[in-house]
Amino acid sequence: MTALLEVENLTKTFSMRSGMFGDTITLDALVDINLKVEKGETLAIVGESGCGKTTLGRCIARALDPTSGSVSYTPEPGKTIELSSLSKRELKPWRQDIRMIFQDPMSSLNPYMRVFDLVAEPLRIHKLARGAELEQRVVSALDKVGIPRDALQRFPHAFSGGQRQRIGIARALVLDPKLVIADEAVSALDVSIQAQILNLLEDLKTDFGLTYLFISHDLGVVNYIADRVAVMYLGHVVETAPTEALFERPRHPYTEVLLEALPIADPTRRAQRHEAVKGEIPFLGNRPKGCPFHTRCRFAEDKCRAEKPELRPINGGPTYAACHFAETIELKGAYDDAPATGTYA
Amino acid sequence: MATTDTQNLTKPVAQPKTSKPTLSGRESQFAMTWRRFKQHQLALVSLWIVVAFYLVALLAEFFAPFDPGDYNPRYTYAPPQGIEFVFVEEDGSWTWGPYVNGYGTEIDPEAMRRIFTIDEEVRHPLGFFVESEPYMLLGIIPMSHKLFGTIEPRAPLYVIGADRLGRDQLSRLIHGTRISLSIGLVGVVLSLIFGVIIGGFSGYYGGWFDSAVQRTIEFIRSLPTIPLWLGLAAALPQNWSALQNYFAITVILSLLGWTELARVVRGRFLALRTEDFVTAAQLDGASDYRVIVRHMVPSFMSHIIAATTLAIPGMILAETALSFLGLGLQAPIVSWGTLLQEAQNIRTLASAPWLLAPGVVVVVAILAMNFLGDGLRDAADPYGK
Repeated sequence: MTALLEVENLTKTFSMRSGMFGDTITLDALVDINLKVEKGETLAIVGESGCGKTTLGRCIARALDPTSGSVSYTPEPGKTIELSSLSKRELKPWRQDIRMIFQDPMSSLNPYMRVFDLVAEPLRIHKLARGAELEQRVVSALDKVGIPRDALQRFPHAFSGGQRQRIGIARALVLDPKLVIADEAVSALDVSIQAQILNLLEDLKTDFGLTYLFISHDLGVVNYIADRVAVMYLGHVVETAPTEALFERPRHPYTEVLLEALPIADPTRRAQRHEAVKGEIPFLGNRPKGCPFHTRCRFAEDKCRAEKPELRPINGGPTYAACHFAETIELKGAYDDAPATGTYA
Repeated sequence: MATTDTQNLTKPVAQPKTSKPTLSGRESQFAMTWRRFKQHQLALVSLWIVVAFYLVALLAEFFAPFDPGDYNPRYTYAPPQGIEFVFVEEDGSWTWGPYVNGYGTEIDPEAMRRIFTIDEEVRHPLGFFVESEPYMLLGIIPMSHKLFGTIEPRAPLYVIGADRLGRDQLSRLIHGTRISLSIGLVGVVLSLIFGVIIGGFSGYYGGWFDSAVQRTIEFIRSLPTIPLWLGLAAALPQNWSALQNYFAITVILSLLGWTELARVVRGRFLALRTEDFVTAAQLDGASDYRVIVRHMVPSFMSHIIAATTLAIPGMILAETALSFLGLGLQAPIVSWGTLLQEAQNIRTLASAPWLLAPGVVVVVAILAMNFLGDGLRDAADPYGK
């Protein structure tokens, strides 16, 4: 089976110039990203701030143009479209299939448009419906996300954060997309609202056969919603694995660090943690040679400082990791020493 | 009191009549702006003042009792006549109806100068729609009546006085209003076009074009305005007609005026370009044009409206200043600036203070436009207070 979306060797470089005559600095936000998103799955992308997960989402949605590499989209078997090389005009029909949900529902809805126009806008742009049919599709999209019909003529500021995020989701859904890129879709919301939105996303996924690319820094949320997880560090994918496997037995030291950062409610177990990871995330314009994580890794050896590890299958399994010692090092999973029922959702 | 309050609370809130119940039908942007604007008393009054000003400017020939060039050496520096409405006859009966008194002259024995006295004996009744020399209203409609005037032809009528050639100050002021207000409007429209297009490109696309435009604007703005105007006005060919001069001055003023608007527009574009809702519109597949017009412009419409209405008085003041200095419009064109030129020396001011009337009009017009601009800005922004 071919994947719905396949990202190959995707690289995004930003150049920055200090002042008019200053030196140009290049920042590699994404380096040789390889990912597959299967139809119907939820792939989570996790990593700390600045690791490039949002840039990746935006490159796939073509809000940013990738520097090199390819993003191929296969809506049906045998029909593959190379998204990264399409012009703006050629891309337009595919924008219906790939939709994005934004992090901040305060800024992702135009404050000068009413709810009706906000949700109708994608339909109008693609000339898919007008008049009564337009109204009907807008109302049904809002209905799916639980926004009442009497809200149509209000401005976004009349809604709470959770409601606005629902409107944002309705905007994405109104075009019947196949792939939804949710960029930190719940991070700006209260915990109770997060759960509502996550459940809504789950329901919509089963009802409409959606595929999610779920970008998040919150492992609890990821554990709850994702089928598979890709861990990013400094513009690299360092590990991809099915969610369960990743939480149980991480294969990359950075994944372990992330898992250890999960809050533990039990103070006796908290004491058994490793020391918090040392150092800052390196500056993108001055990335370390070799393994990108070696400056902070507790297992780092000379080989790590000299040679960059490739993302490779570990023990032939579904887990991929970019670590020279993935098979041998002892890493602690999220459930180690935890009570049998412990989850982080 | 408390009981009535609670009763009010339980009542259903009255829906405003303007909001329609249909799904996609709704109070239009214009209706909403107007509803909010009406709540702003000062702005509403200013709106009527500005409308009145432009009406007078448009129909100057009809409103002005005389042609601005009509002179009469018998009445140089004639003081304002008061318009009287009631005359008490010698037998005690009252005669109604507006009239002006005639002038008498005597010689001031100290200054050896002719001074005017109001002659209570002579009355020139006034009437509406009196006959006059035929003229063309708006340049196309032949007319032979003025809004008001003396019923007997050739009687003196100087409601706010006469200037050094015995020309009617009121008529000149009305005709000057036309020139001054239109120079403000045309100048601002030109600046708006330059400003929005250049500023918009600069802010939306950024890059080298933005840098080039910004440096140009900085350069233009760093030039001191008065010497620049001086230079440009002096560069105008001597043999140009008054009308050509007028257009040249408008263009000169707007060549400097666009920089301000371009900055405002660029700033808004830069701020909005990175907003998520703009990215969202781009990801919807909207064209650049649609993103700009439908998603970005509405959120800085209020800024543009304010900047534009606030720029008109700037233009008018600039023209007035320029003409006052003798660099802008030249006689025989009548503008507020050229009228104020008459009031430049202290002798004239002391003996004929009514020549300062254009100054009062300038102040009223500028204030009204500023208040109008403020009101419009507040009304056009649904997120205002």
